[in-house]
Amino acid sequence: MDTRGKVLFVDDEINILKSIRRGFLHAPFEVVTAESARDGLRILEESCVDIVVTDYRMPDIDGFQFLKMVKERYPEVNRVILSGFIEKSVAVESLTRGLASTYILKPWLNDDVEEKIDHILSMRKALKSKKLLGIINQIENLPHLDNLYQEFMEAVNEDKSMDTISKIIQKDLSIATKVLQVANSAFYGLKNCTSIKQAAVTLGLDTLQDILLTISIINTMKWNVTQMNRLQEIFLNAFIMNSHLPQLHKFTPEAHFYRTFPSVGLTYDVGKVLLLQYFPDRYASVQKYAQLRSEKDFYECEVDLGFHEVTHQEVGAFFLDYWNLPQIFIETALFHHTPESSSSQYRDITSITHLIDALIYELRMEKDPDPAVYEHPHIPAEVIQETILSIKKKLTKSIFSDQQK
Amino acid sequence: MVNSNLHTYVRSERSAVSFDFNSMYRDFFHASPEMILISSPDMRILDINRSGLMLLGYDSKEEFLSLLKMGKIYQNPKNMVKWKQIMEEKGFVKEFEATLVKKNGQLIAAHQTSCTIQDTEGGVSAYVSVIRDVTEIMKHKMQVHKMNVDLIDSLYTLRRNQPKLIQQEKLASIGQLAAGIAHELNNPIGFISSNFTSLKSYIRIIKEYIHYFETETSQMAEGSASSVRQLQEHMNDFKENEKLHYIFHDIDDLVNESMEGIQRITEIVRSLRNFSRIDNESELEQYDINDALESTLTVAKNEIKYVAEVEKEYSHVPLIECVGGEINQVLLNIIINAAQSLKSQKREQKGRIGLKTRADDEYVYCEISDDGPGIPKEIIGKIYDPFFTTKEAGKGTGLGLSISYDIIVHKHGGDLTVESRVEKGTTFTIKLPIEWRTGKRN
Repeated sequence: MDTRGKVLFVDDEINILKSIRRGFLHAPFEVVTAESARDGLRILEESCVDIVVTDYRMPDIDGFQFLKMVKERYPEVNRVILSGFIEKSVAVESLTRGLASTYILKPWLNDDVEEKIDHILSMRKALKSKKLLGIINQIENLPHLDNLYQEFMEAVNEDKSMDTISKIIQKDLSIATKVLQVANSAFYGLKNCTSIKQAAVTLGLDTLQDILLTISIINTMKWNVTQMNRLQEIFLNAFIMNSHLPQLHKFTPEAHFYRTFPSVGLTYDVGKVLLLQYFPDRYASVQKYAQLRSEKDFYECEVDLGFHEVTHQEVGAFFLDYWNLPQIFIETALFHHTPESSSSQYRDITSITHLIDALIYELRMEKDPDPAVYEHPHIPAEVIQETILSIKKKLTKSIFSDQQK
Repeated sequence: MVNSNLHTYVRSERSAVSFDFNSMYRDFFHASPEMILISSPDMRILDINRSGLMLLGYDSKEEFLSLLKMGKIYQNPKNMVKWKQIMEEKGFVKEFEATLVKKNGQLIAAHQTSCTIQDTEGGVSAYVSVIRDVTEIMKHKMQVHKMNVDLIDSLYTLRRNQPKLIQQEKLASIGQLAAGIAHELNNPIGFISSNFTSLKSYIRIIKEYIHYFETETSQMAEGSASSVRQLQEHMNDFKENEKLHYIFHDIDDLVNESMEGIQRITEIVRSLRNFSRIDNESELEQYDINDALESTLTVAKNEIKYVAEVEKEYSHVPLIECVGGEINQVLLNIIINAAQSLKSQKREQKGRIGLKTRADDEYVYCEISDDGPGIPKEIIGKIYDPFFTTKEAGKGTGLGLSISYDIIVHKHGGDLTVESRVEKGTTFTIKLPIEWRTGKRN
């Protein structure tokens, strides 16, 4: 049978592994199993695995430790955590920490697991499609995300002190200066922060994390003045998205599992940033086409112009994956115009991103969004109405106070 | 001698200052560290010593004597009236409590001890008072009093909250138990439900196979279809496609493993029922401590299995008359403490938890030991104190051992002892009387 990929299941209970083997007997992927993290690592060493699914509670090396090792040694392998139903918060934490791309709760349903694995495999396929790689390969040097951000996130996740966290940012003076510039911009209400630590305390770590991610992304590429204006526009959208996404996501049933909400709003449209940098002609042509068709958004115009499967969604997701950001970032970027294709796990986030993106787009075109069109099963209508007003206000502000140079 | 001197002294009332004092007594009078005051029956002040002047804050005797009337040194004149009454009735007073006023208006709490000096006719010629400043003492007294009141207050609050706290501790252990049991159930339920889904598809495939076989053979019987050989080929193809060989071979395993899972669930539920004794929470029963340890292990398995190997050394011990549910709570508490102490060491290899039972004529003993971090000497005396906990905030109520102690020692007339060596381990010994002794329960 032609299999779409190989999935390694790790669990210290043999009966679980056996039930999984028989449960996926006819599944379109190959199943291999290991009774411990050590065995799992051996299998990863010896053969080519696409996805590992590991139990959380195991003797010796537990699921978290194992996933961390896999992430370091085999970053290309997708990671899934399998944990007890009552440990759901643990499962969600593994997502926000970027250790796992999704979770499965015990007791599980075979169909559910199959759907999740299938989704990951097809996503991997989409991000490795010949058509997309053909585009990516035209970029001479792939932009590399400064590992300062990863280091910072690691420290935040491990609850390190403000001092330690501030010191990480201060390692790079140019980044530290820019963090302060943004922290003191009109967008954040001109706080007059003079040190990173002060910025961390007055703005909060979540905001600092947002700023750092933004700057890291901008820093991966070089910008000229004309591009800078477009870039500002994209990032203002991103900042607006990032401030409204958690506010609306609050209303979804899963919201309380998120101890901190990751800054996925910032990168949902990162594909546009990359297109602007590396394919400015294509970007301009799509924009020109869009200007004549106000009923269509950027994505629809890209599809019209024959960029299906290589739109800014795929390009953005490719790089977020390449930069090793958590799955939630990749899903949001990859499906923010097509939320129905995202995995059920992230459907709420992608659909809300889609909603906010559409609002921003309409408001930028100076249209009045019809509240009746913007409905969401979990979000009250008046909240959406408030969001519209708030976005309208924010569109007039600037994020980069004096950074146009 | 003294009397006659004083007699003369009183006689020359107005010229008291110039009175010709025997120098020794004058020295004694002035050198006394206590305030001494001499007053006349009509409450005039006749003399005061240096300590007295210092205490009341006057520079000279002249300045003080210009006050003349004794009433001026009392904050409340009624104090003086009362003092005089006592003096007239009894002739002396010991540690009369009065509040005096200093020159600068400051108040002094004082104890006034006075006696009467009589003249030759037996009348009162003067009163001598030794006055002691007790302000500091009173302050302390007030503090102690206030502390006492606070203590009584907190004791009262504690008493009132005790049932609630015990309930909380119980709930905390129930919560912990529930979490542990949920974990224990996750796995068997997980694979059983997965197996049943697989079984469903196995059955579907087998049915299809039989159905296929039946239609083919009946067509063959009608003579309309292919040869036996062709049928065999088709059947083999079918088998190959649907992995029937595997299914035939696996279906027994599937059923057996699922049965095993169901067995495990049954065992957990049985232990839990044994353990919690919902039906008779506080009734006396004949209790088998070996059985109870087994049930407790099943219930706490989730806490133990990754951190320790359990070594059992059960002896044949008589049944104990006790409240089983309560003893179970103690066993669980001590076993979980042992497991958690081992876990806290983050050791490379699993630790050891030892369970040992034995008995003599009167008592049954149960030793629960571990080779964990041990309890430091400084805190071993505190482990039974309510609210003492070494766990991080929010993790323990600090009541587990204190309640355990209460159950074993006070309610059952047994004993709970601990031996511990740092880095070597800890052993708790529970000693329970075999026969219930009446009147122990409060």
